[in-house]
Amino acid sequence: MNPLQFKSLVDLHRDRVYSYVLHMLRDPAASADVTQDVFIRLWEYRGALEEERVLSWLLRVARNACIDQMRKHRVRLSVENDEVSGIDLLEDDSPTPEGAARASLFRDRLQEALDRLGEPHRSIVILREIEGYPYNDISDQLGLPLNTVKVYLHRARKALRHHLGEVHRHDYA
Amino acid sequence: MPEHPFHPTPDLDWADEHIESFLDGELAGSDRDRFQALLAAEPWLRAEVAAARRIQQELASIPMAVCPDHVSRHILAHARHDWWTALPRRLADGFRRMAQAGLRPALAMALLLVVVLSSTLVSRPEAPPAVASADVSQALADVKMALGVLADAGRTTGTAVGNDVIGPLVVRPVARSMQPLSQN
Repeated sequence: MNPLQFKSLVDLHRDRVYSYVLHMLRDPAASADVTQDVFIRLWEYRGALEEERVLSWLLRVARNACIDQMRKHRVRLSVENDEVSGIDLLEDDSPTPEGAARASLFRDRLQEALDRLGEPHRSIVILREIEGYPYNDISDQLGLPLNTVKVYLHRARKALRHHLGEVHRHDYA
Repeated sequence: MPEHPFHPTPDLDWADEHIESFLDGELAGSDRDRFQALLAAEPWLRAEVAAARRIQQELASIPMAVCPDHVSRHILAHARHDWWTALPRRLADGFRRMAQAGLRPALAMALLLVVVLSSTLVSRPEAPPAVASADVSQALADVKMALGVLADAGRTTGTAVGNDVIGPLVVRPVARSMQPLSQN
């Protein structure tokens, strides 16, 4: 693979890799660094990879890099102490400023719940629910059996829902 | 938001376990009927289903992030630099592998061909401009006429022009200048 062929692979996959890493780390600068390192590793291993499996390989390497990064820096969002949160925010979808603010708060709470998920549940939610990959691809990307991916996704969704419910009860206790 | 049942019944435990399957359309037959009956009877379950649906919609609506341009630039600069740095080594390895594979005669022929072609193409002198033989004849006739005019002028004016003047000043320079033309 020469640099021109490599460039076409970078152009094809860079947004997917960066987006996944950004959801994992929540830090644009760190995500840019990790994405860069992942593609440089792809360049170094270019002779050993089949082209159709490049994206799976990239996401697997990216996930390992994110886990390393989180261990080193403990990237976590601070939990805000808002008075309104959780599932209570579900009931208002109106396009008023108040409705928009509540929707924004819901997203924050959801992100907080996502941050609390452990691996591989978090990666599975990102890859399936945000990035929209099929189960088979996620199985390949994470090196997990297909049924395990489905079971973990089920548990992760339930954990997100319960976390939002807990926040709601805590705020109104 | 209805309060979570602190003393859940087996039915609600079961329903809680199957909310995501219900949303994905994976519940069928008696399980789906059972879930829908509980959904109609339990406000808590309805709220949980709404929450699960909203979570899925919210996650699906998050747009894909765009990788900053400088990331691609650094990656490609690294690849290009690495490629050119390693090029001589790769060529040397290629020749070495050919030699090890018993392709020495082929390698020698390839090298010879490269040398011959490059010397032919690189150091070949430029061809002189083509001159038609008619032009050469015309030039010689012009010289003869000039010499004749000079001799006639000498006779007319009474000024003798000696061979020691005509030779070095006219005949030899003209002959020298005509030499390349006559060779064509």
